[in-house]
Amino acid sequence: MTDLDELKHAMDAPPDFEPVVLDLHRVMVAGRRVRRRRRAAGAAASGVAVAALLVVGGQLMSPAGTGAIDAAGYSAPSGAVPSAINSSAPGILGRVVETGRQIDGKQWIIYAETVDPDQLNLNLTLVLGRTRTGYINDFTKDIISSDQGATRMAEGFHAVKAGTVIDGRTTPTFGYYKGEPARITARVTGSGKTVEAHLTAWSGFAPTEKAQIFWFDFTQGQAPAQLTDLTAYDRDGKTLG
Amino acid sequence: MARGDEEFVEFAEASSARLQRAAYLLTGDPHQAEEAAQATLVRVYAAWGRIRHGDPYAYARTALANLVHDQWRRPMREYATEVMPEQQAPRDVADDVTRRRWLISALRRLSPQERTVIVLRHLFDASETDVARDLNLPLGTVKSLNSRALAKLRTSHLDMELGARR
Repeated sequence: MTDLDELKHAMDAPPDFEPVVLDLHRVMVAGRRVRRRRRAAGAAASGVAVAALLVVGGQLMSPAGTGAIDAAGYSAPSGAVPSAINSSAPGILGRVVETGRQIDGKQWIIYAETVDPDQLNLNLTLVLGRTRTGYINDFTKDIISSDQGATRMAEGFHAVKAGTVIDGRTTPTFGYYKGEPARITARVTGSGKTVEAHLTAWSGFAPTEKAQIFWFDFTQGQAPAQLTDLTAYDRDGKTLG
Repeated sequence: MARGDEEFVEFAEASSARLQRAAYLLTGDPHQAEEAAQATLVRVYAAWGRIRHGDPYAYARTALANLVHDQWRRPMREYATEVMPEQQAPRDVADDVTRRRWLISALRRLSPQERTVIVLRHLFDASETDVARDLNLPLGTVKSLNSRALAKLRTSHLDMELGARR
């Protein structure tokens, strides 16, 4: 028996582990629920997409607030990336956010994933990835961000990741705010300048599962600004949470 | 039961044990392995209408790999090597269970990426091209991870043999 055969044999029958009989009825019930909810959410996807585009466009035209937005080089979302709600891709929930920013011919995208749509508090995860074609099987995951514990759907900021440079690619500061803020800002460490985030409305299946996925502008090839004092505001300009 | 559901049950029954073993090798935890295999089958069933005439096994393999994928992005978590064998007595080394246990322990000391490549490549018998597609990695990276991981496993194996002769 060769080393490789031995390894295969060991992996085929790892000692101290015995597979159990899985409850396939439960599996199928959960699978049907996922199908139903994807269909239901898919029916509402087009309206959500239009609303989200208006939100992003409005920000570019009139950046309300105390600071300026560095929108240089930003291109409006093309609409090439489909909502993944009605796809059969494992785990993607809600719309896929297009940043309009490209690197190596791929667009940066942000989306939410879950292994169980009924347990978002426990397992909602935000992904920063890239795609060339916009098809689900062409999504590259670059950063996966989530909070520890079971409060991922509590009102407020979650899964916030500071911008960084990975393998020469500049990534934005991004995250999500559970709730419906009208604006999200941050202060640039050093200059003190206030910058405003791009927001895209995100929703799960339940009426209460609403959030804004946000990201801050960045310039490819340059280190991202270090941000602090992340703040959310409601429509009246009042600070949230 | 609808024909599609019957086919799914047949597929699930045939693949469940291997998925659980793969999940155990990837997570190092029997309970997590059961949950990961079950979550994988939920994803497979949710997509069954589209994949049943294609390669559902490959879809399941990819779904499982994706489920444990985010562990790579977090600070590296080494598994507790609770079953690391003591110094081997010569007669134990010949024992099949002991050898398998040693190999699994060595597998757990690989990086998460190396371990995933080894499991997909050598438990599922996926080609390097398929593994690259499953993990969204360049083919060269998969080849390199596979080769480095096998070298580490061979070194561990050699250490075991030498330890047994001392």
